[in-house]
Amino acid sequence: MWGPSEARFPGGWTVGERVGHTRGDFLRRTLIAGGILGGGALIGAWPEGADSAPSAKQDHRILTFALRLELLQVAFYEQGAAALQGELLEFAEVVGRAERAHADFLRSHLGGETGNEGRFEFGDTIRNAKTFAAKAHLLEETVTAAYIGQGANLTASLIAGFGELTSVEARQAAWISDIIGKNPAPHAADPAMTAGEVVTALRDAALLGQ
Amino acid sequence: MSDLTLEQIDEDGAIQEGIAALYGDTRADLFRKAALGGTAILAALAGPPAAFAARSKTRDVAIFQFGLNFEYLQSTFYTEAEQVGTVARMNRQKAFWAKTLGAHERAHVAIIKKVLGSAAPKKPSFNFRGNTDTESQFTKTAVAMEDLTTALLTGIAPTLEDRHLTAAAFSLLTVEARHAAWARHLAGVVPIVRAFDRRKNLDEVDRIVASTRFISSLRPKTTTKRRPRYTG
Repeated sequence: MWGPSEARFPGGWTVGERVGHTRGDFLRRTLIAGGILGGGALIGAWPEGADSAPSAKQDHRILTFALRLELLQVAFYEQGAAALQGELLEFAEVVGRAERAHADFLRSHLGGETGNEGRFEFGDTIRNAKTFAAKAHLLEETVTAAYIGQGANLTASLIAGFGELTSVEARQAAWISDIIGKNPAPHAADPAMTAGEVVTALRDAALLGQ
Repeated sequence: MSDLTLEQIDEDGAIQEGIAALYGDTRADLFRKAALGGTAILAALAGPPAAFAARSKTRDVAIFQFGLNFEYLQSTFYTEAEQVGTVARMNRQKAFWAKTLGAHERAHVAIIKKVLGSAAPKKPSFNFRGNTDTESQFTKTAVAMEDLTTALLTGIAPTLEDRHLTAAAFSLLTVEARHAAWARHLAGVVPIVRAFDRRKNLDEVDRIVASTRFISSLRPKTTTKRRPRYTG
């Protein structure tokens, strides 16, 4: 496939000096207000966009929000696996392992200050394969969109790791999409969701309590 | 199956709206639309090309120039596979995959070219060395190319100075990751390689692309001149 070296991109690229710029306008527009509920209990607050420049405090809020989403997914795949077989079971096992690794990554960056991690109970919501697959699709699409919405709000040192996690969420979304016959890549540029939109989508799907 | 149109891949009209908006709408209007439509790439690139070049003359522009060259590579690869009839010989599901990826990469080329304006590099000539001729080779190369693009964009995201562009990189790296996963699934391999995709920097990607010898001073040879819809 990839053969021996010969050609190079004409024109190439160079690394120039650092360029200063103003982030305020962008961040004021992109930071989001909202909250996330798990099992009917408020488990994390979301910041208003007033102090929107990337900061350690803002990192903590974003990573806490992401940890809640990862833990929700871990619980979802653990509880759903019993009803599955074949490729759906493989999907749940592979993705479940990835979500646990994501949660560990986020916990490590939160330095133990993860707050109440909560519990998630899905009950009959995911007790058959068809329902599980539909909910898994919604969950993966929602988490992918949530991370697209937050990646640029992190401080620079966290963006790389968060990007490596985000792309895997997108792979998971594409995989379950293909399994259930939906377009795995429906957009040329993927949409973002605000934290509020994420909460609404998960509540509407009965994956979060009211 | 008929050729994919931009309308088919751009269900919410965001790309088309954004391309027009680059030259018409105010920056605020575009941000508002981006928030509603979630089109971070367009929000990031809002404003006419001259404005982008003026505010980001060095590293970010250089990175996007590299990105455009890579998008040229991808879009030409998929376009050529359609032109030589390889996609037409695929089953319906596989052909839809190939056409969707081609349409996406051509859309990416169109957007980045408009944004870079006069700073956009010219399209190189490519020679894919037979990898567009058969479904098997095309698929294997597509999997490698999409995995590499995901690694490239993941590597780019933290290096960009302008947070608009960081947001854009996120909205694109997930698309490329979807392409990679979709390609892997169709090829019968697990779509998720590991819990974290490994990023690559520009040097690493440049070396890998160079190793393919896909960049050629010769014009690529194809058996037909038919252009797929929406060629950027």
